[in-house]
Amino acid sequence: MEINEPYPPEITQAINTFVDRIEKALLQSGTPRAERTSVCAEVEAQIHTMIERRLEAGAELNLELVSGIIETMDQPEAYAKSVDPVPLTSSTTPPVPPVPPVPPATGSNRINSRPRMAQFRKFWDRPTRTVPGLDWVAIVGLSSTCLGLLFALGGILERSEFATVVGMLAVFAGVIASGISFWRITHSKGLLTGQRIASVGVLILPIVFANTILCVVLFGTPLGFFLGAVVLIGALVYANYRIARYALNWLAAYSAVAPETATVEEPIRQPDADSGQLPGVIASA
Amino acid sequence: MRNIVAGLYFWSWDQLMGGTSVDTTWLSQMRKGILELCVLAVVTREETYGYAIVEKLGQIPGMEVTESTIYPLLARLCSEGLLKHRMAKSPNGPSRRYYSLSVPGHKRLNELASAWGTIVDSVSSLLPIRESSVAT
Repeated sequence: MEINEPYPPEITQAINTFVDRIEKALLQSGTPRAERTSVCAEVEAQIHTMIERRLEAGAELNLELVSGIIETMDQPEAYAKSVDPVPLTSSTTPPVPPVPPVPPATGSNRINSRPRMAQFRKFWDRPTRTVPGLDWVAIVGLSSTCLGLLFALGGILERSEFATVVGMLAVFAGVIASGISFWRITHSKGLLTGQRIASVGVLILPIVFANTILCVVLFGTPLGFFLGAVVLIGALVYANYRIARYALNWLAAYSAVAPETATVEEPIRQPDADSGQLPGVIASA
Repeated sequence: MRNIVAGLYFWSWDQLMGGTSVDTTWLSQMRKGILELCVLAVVTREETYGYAIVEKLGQIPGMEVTESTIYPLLARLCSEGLLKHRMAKSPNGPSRRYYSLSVPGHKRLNELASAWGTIVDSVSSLLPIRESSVAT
């Protein structure tokens, strides 16, 4: 295939999916639109440059080649980490534009496309997202764990066996759901987020248990139960904060419309020094 | 015993929350601080595109930066007016952005380079290796 021929649709789709994920990560980190556009353009140009070089080296253009190139690059989450977080409501930050809905993934437009038989896997192993998003199982798991703990605590205080049993069942179900969510996230190749929420959902029971025991051992008074309850309330506040933040991000993404930021082309200014240094720049250091 | 239990508890919590090596953090922060200077210095030498900057800085020992660090920085420098870019057609794929230094960028590079020189001289004067090299 000639280098200057257009790429097959599945390759273009794979590139677009990867760039969309980066844009989504940048959007979630509050990066202004002009900078998001610039970063995505650079990433796309880099992918094309790397493809060109592989083709010039004799490689064959196919989806595996492009997927291999994409895997060698930084994952979308790395872009969000490298940007200083800016609040979406800041007056200095341009409003966040809406993200167009992405059609559900099919076998041909997934980066890690595999033979059709391999697609018959358990539901948690193949998230249907094409852009990063919060795993709902993590939210369900953490909520179930926290509410179950409260329910069980209330049952113990009110001497209600039914409430205690239901609460403990909800706690165990929540821990299991959080574990499943953690597994889904770590196997989603960056398509699912919420690893911290899932971790908290898995660890909250042993943490509360350990805190309670630690406090009882250290203080030898019911103060330990009080501190355990404080930890539980803190976890609830954190879960609510995450849910609210997620909801606000989505609301901001779909409600705000930003004006197009046109890039003004400027004339080329060639460097005027053969020595590699512009006059008066490094010399003054 | 109580101190040991409490120490283990807080150490575990720190590890859980993502405890990092001091050396790694220090190097990372130092790299981040001088990265803007490095990018401006690369661009001032010649008009170049983003991936070339990544490759150039990636080859410098100790820098070890990747595209996820460079591209957002390039975008920020452009939005601050320190860099300017033009679009140029590529043989295949989208057009490339070629970056060059703007007038405020030259001024900024001057300031950063001057500050860098001062810091290097000051810190080097404190290091024992410098004293031994001077003595020899």
